[in-house]
Amino acid sequence: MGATERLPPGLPNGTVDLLILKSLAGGTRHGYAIAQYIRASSGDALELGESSLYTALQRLLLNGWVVDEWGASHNNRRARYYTLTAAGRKHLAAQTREFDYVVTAIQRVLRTV
Amino acid sequence: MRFLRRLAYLLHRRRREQDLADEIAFHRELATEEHRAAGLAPEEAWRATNRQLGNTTLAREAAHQVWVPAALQGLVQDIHYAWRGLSRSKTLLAVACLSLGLSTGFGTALFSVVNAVILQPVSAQRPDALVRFWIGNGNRISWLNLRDLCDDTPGIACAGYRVDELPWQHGDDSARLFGQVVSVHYFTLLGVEATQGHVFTVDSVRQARDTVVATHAFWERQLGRDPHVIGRTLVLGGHPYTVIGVLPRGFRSIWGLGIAPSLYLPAGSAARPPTTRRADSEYELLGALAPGQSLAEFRSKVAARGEALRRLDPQQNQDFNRVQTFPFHTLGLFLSADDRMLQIILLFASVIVVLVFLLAVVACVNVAGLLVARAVARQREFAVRISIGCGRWRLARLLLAESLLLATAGVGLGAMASIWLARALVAVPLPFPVPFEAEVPLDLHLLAYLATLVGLATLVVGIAPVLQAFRVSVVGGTGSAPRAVGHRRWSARGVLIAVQVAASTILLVATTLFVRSLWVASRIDPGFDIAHVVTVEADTQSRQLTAAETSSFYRAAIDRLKGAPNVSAVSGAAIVPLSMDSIVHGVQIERGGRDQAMVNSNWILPDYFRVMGIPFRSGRDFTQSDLQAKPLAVIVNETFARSVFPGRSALGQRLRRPGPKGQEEPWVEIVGVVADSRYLTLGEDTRPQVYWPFGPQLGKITLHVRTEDDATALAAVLGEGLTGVDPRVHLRVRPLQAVMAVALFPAQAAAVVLAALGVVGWALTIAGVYGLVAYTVTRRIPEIGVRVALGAPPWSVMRLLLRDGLVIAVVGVAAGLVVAAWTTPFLSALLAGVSPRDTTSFCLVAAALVLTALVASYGPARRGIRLSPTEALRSE
Repeated sequence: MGATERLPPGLPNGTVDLLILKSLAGGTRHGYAIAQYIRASSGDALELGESSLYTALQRLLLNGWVVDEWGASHNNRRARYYTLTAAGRKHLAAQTREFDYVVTAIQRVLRTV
Repeated sequence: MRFLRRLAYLLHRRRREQDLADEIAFHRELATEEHRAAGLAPEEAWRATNRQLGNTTLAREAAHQVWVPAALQGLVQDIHYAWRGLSRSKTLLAVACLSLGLSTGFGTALFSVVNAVILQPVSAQRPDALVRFWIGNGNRISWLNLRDLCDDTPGIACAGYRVDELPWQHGDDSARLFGQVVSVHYFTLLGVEATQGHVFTVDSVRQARDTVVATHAFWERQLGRDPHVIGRTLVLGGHPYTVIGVLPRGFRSIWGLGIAPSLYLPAGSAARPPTTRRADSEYELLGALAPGQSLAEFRSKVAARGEALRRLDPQQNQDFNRVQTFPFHTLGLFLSADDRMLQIILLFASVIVVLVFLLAVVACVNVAGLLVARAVARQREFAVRISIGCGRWRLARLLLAESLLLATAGVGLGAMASIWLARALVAVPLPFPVPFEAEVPLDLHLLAYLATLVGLATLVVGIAPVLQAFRVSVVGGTGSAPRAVGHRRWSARGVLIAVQVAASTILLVATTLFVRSLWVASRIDPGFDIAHVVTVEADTQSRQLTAAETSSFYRAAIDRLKGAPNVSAVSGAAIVPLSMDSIVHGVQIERGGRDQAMVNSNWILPDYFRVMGIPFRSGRDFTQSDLQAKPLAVIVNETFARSVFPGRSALGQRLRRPGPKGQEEPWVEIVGVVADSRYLTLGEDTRPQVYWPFGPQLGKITLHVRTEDDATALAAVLGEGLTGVDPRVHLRVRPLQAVMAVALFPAQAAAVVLAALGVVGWALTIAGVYGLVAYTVTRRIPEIGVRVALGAPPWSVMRLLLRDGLVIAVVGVAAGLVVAAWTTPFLSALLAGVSPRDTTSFCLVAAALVLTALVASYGPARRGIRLSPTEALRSE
């Protein structure tokens, strides 16, 4: 049974990390909320599977871009919340710039006749 | 930071994994709720969630790999697997550990002892700034001059010292201590502080003169770690002294080589009272350059001060404006005074390192041989692994992991053994009364050295099996093809054994050469007869005999000794050669080729040369009438005669100790020339030497007694005959050999160490050759079976098996000899009296190793011929 993960193949490396960091830029969220945010804000175009989401979160923890904390969810259940660190914020800014640059460059190429 | 986070993960791994599981469970619950909200039935919603989110285990593994990279995981797995493999062949593990452990343990122990004894600098804040210097015409100055030179002279940091043997009375017992008398500034000059109490300062000595600073070892061993040692009274030379300080543990005296005087006393204290003559030769001088001060500045400051002292007493302080400086080597005085000794010791240290390295090579090759054999036996296993998809690199990694484990285990075992062995070696009591103290440091250098050893051993041990693994053929190895009966002599293992035999050959040739050379060196003729002389020293000081009483005691003792059985002659001398005591000064020559010469001096009684067995070259011995307060006759050695009066006879020439104009000492005539003999060390170049007759008063003297029988036996009984002379005096009677033990010790110790190295190398070679032949026999069982079944007589099979080991051994020995002949000339500086291509040594080693190979082959070969053909053939 394959996961219904809706991510176009061939995304540049680190795109998932970038999306997660962006979703945390607005404030602390737990894993499910991150997945929802990405689905909603992409207009249901992007959907993260469990494996990609949580592997990426572990990677972000390892790099010190996010920190985690257990807390109570809105329906009063134990949930693990992630918060962006200063280093994470810096990384997000840098990656966003780079992503913009690459995407713009690609678009330019594609629009030439 | 990432590393720390990884570490934290590994430490809390279980909790972190639980966290992830909980988190995923929470995620799924929320997802299910969402599906239900969208109108699905509970069951349906749950299935939808699972469909959507996929395999939890996969997610968990992916997350885990973020923290523990696959490569690391593989390594852990490899090591785990290697351990499982090795623990199944315990013999291999044991032999490898023993082989590597023995060689590295022994090697490391030697390395640490050399490091601990020789290569540690003296304890001083700035050992580089220390300098030895002489002022005036000798190496020693008097107490008065020492005080005037070193106390409160701006720009001159200096201190005086002299070694002294002191009787220490504790209870009814009296022990002799090796102490050092130093001037007040000594410890300030070195920049050393006490760990308990304090060292000498100007104030402390002014307040209480009879004080003493003990070394840590003395406090620990002789004073039983007394916690109230500060303030305790020790009776030294008949005077009560108060302990004011204990030096730090591991304090290295300025002598180097681990030689450690037990106690330090201030110059001018009761046991060594201030003398009143400025001309007395008492203290040697040590200076320290102030930061930024050049040697020339220091010398000119001392010379200016010396000039003032000369003007103060022109008669006794003659030539005091003359200053000579000598370099101080940070490894200690012993190595500063004698360049040749320094060279020899440093070369010896490097030779040890090279030999230890060779030994390690022999051991590694040994273990490599075992592993190759194992790899051959495991060909089938390898083939199976490869055929079911194990990459060859992966296989290589597995094999290297095994080698790494073996090397670590072996070297680890060796390291533990070495620490124990080195401590035991350093603690071995020395055959002479000089206290010796060396800490075996367990420092980073040693650990780095061990780590390098593990790395090298892994590579050397592991590379051969890996090559073997790469050669595995899947078809042949799995056993589907018929196995060839037959045998290659030069298999990887054969080559390894040849290399091992070659390395052993080099090791053994080198050690044989050294042992022979040290043997020759230890028999370097000191120029006198060590075996037939007994010395008698008397402690007239503890009971404070007057000068007249002392003198008459010695005269009576000499008379008694002359009448004792087995005694053929009796004499006396102020200095026993080769016993660390020396007096050097200048003499003037009346009409010589040179008008000044520096000489070693000794003061002697008639018959001294007869007692010592030093032959006269010309002239006569002293007679009783020569023993005058102002001597009229001296005797010189050949080197003096040759260097001062080249091409002429020295007899009848005159010399004197320098003195100021108008008040010169009288000229003294040379009445005899004797053969050269060693004075301070066995290895020294012979120096010009002058023998002066004692005056009518006998002061500091050691009596020398000649016997034609065994000196040790005589020494045992000689003391009793003297007990009646003066009951107050404590006597020490020793064979001359014992007094000189200090000088003879290095060569003897070196010979023992090298011989031990050789024996260990030899043992490893035997093990290697034995292993090879045993293994070959096992491999050739089918072949032997066929031969025997076809009617080969046992002796021909025996010959066949022996020939294998022998051919490899001969090739190895030949290669080793060629390499040795090419390299040993580099060691020629160290090989006194033995040619670096000494034929006897080479032949001896070659014969011994070939014989060893034969003997080692015999055991397994005999097992081979005892096999019954049916049994042998069945194994196929």
